Amino acid sequence: MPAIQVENLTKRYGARTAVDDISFSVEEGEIVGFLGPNGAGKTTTLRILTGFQPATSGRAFVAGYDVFNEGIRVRENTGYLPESTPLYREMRVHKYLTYRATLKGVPRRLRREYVESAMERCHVIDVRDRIIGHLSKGYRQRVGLADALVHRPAVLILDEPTSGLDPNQVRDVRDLVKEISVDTTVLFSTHTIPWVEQVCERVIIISRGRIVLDGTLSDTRKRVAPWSRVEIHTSAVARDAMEVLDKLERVFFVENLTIGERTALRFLTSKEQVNDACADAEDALSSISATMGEPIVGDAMVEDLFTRLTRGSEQVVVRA
Amino acid sequence: MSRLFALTRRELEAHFFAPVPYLVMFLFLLMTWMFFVVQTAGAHIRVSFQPVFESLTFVLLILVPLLTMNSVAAERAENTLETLLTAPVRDWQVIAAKWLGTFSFYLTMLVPTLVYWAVLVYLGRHIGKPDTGPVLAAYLGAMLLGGLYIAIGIFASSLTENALLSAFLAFFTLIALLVVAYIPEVSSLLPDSVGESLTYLNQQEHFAVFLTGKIAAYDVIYFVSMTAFFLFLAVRALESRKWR
Repeated sequence: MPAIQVENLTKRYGARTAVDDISFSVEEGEIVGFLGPNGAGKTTTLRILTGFQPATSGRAFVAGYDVFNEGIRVRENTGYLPESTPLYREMRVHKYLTYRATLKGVPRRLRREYVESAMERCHVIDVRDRIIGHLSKGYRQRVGLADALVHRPAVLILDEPTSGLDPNQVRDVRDLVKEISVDTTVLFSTHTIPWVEQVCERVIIISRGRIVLDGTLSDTRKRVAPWSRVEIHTSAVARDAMEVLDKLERVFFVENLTIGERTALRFLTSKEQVNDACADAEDALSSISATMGEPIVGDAMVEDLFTRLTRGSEQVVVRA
Repeated sequence: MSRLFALTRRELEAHFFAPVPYLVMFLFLLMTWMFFVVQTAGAHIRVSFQPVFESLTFVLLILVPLLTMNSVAAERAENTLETLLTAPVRDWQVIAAKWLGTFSFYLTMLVPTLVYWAVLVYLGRHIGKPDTGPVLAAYLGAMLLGGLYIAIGIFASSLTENALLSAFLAFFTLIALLVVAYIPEVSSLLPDSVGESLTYLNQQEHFAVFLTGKIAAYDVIYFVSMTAFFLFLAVRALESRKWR
């Protein structure tokens, strides 16, 4: 049985469907990125998997246990880091971790050893006697991670483990998660793509409560390989330019990148037709008497697929 | 068992890391001390322990909600409830530990009042010491009363993430139990049996019995069952995340 198995899971809040009939599985030892824009249903799904909330319908198994009937077993074998890393701020780091280890059923004789090794793994040894509330956000995040893995769970579920961190802290946490994934199954949610590209083998993209992509990273890269991304500058107003470009047959998914005065746009097109597409774009812009600068052509990236899948109208389910 | 113990210990320790419980303890000792002094330092010295706890029903009305207001509400507000409930613990264990932890703090609050008893024993060395039995009955009553108030406070705290609101909810629930039976308009409107039931719910009626030195099963059962009832409600409130 896979480490995580989700079957036709649905969660409704009144009339709103937060998670809409999703199914996926995570094999033992895998590290999987659960990707989606805010409000796509990531947190809800993770909360269901950790037994914090039940689903409206469907089934889920974590570490071989039924989430709805064997909640305690699931939680004994799962480490969970909720979004925003809630911690008891008045406690000292090692006392907090010892308390958490006790709650999670680590036997007394092993507790000290488990806590020490969790602190070591997460590099919080040097703040072990500090009060959690006095720590920086980066350290608190690592204490949260140490808490999630202190009982040596088979499965680690992390909800947005890097939100609100600065780039250095993001890198620290990312490396840490990579280290942990050596002997633990990891499912983590995020809305930033580089993260996923650097640590994951597989990615699941969720949008509006539905899974729009589920595949390995190399498959995903293959999928974007025939595509180019083109960036152009134009003298037209962004809205007008997007309107005419959207009508073109060889131009897909026009995005507005404008920051300064000059309008900057990005679109996708197939690699073979990239020159034609650029010509089409120039013609279209000149029809509204605007000029277009030299286009910058590059390979499409996973990020482009993500934007397309989560914001575009076309929603294709691809399974590895 | 070790989980319940760990939860309870953290609950008790949390009281010692926050300023409000110290304030509550200070006010509690100040108020009981005042009642004690007024009764014993007057022209007619009563060698009686009763005055110390005589107004406890009312003193705790204000103090216990301050003690319990953060109990579940703060965990909701800080989102630590999610970390807590995704550990392999059961909802009832969380509520039981919250009650046990706060109750333990309440017991430490009661300890210094033993001084008044010692003072009475000293003052009464010529005119007769207070009987031990009634004092113990008063303490048992105080413990049961405090236990019920804490259960109501925790229930109120489990309903909201706003500590202040939870304190008010607890306060008004306690007031309601206390006064409903005493409002003549209410009792005259209701059939006798209902009026009696309302009187049965009144905590002062039962607590007063302990102050007379009597320990009756009838009153003990009242406190124990009411405490259990409100803790049960608190567990249900915690579970409400599952169907809301």
